[in-house]
Amino acid sequence: MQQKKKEAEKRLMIIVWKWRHINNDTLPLPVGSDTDMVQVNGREYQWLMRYDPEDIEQSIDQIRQIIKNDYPAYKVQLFLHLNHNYEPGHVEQINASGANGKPPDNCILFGNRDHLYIHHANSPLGLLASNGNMEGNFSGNIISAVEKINEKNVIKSTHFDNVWNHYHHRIKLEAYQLKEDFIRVLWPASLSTSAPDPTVLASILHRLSTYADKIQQNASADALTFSLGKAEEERSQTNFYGSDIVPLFISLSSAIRDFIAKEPDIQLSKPAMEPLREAFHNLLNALPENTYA
Amino acid sequence: MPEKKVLRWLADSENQIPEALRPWAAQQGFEWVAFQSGDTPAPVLLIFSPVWNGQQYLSIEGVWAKYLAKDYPDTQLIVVGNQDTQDTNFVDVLQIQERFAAILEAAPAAIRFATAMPVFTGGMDMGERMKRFLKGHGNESMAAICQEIYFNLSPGRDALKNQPHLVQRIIEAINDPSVKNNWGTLASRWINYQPFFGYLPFYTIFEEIRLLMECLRPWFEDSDASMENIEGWFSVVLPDLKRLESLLKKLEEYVQ
Repeated sequence: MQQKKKEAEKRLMIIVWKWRHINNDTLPLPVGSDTDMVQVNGREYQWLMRYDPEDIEQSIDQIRQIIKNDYPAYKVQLFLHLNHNYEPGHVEQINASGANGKPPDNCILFGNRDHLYIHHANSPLGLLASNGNMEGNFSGNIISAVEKINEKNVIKSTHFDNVWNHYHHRIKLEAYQLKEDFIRVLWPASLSTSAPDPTVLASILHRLSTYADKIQQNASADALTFSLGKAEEERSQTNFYGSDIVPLFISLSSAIRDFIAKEPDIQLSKPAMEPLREAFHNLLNALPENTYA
Repeated sequence: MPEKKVLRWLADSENQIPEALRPWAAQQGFEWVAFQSGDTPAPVLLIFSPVWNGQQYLSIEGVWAKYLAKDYPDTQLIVVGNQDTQDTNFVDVLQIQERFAAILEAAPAAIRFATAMPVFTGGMDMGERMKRFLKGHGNESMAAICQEIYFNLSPGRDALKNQPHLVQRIIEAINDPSVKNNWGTLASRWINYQPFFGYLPFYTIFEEIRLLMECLRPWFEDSDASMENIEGWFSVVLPDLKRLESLLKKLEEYVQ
């Protein structure tokens, strides 16, 4: 019996980047155009839109209109490059509610530093090289995100998936790893009769505290804005999750605060750890994606 | 003096919880033994999952459950995880001191996992990762790719014996870009997935695959087939490919 092939999710990745301006010889934009669409190899409904607008203020509306009118059924991740002078305010603008267009599911502001996952320099399955090309160097090897199939340039699906999944899963991953790490540090310390290593304890408490701060600063009523990387300027705003998820982040933040406020010897006890872990679980169970891509 | 019950446990090297539990285990009368690759898991195996491989948390319980169900069906598998979930073969790491005796008493043998899955601990699902390694995303099964290279080359072996004048054509067939492309797929998949396999139960198989890949690599990557090395392609490469294929098929039996 022939099995019906499962249709891949409709996905659109929009990268606003200096496509026209720097040595873009791997896959230049069409002459006279500031945008094009490149299909992901073998995927009927997955595309990379490359966009290099002249006017960034107008581009905000244009992107929202494109998402609403042309790709209403698509999951959309939008990458805005800092060298185009995009800033956190633009991320808020693009995510604002209202009838004028539709926001993307995830908006990432990137650039200036070379540690970003989207770059070949940091990932063998990245999409961009620092010189504006889609072909770049990773650990001495030249890697291209583009291939030619039947005379047509397409995005390699492994590269597209890798970048897509990385940015999609990052928020859940961060919470999951912190949940595992804090138990792995605190629980053995509570079982041991000897004094725990104060540096190790301080480190995990600092991580918890930083995470709680981040939630507190970035969770508004209907969206989350999270810094995804080490660079302060690399920020994202995600709407992958409905507004029902935001209270779970805030509960987790409160649980962390309660935990940190306890005396050190109380922190090393099961009754103190359990409510915090439960807050992590409540959040993790509500996030539908896998922890890892 | 009553014999101590041996409890073998598997955890990553950075996880300090098993050692912290050692005094409790001794008090309970258990012989608390770290599982080493090559050990027999029976009669009881505790898996502290997920394991940390330095970059990711890997949930290894599903792969171990299938392996034990097939090769050690009488072993009791108990997954020790960081969540408050009730299951006959699972214990919450925060509740292990209180609940372990009852779990050990009642946990069904691993044969249960021939048709069931253990509680998932939320990290990278190594069962899925193994499937992707072995089967790829479509018709890119590692064993099938291996077989394709093998079948491309194997007619040449007979020709070499019976029709030596065809040697040049055989060499050209070996040097066809499709053969090297297939090898490239095998090699890159192995390189990409190998870091995830450290805590899985197939240590000896993976080690043999690693050695075979190392042995085969120069044949495909360092030079082309030629009159000087054609004998080696048939005396070394073909048997190694055949062995590689059989090892990959063996692994497939555990991740159906």
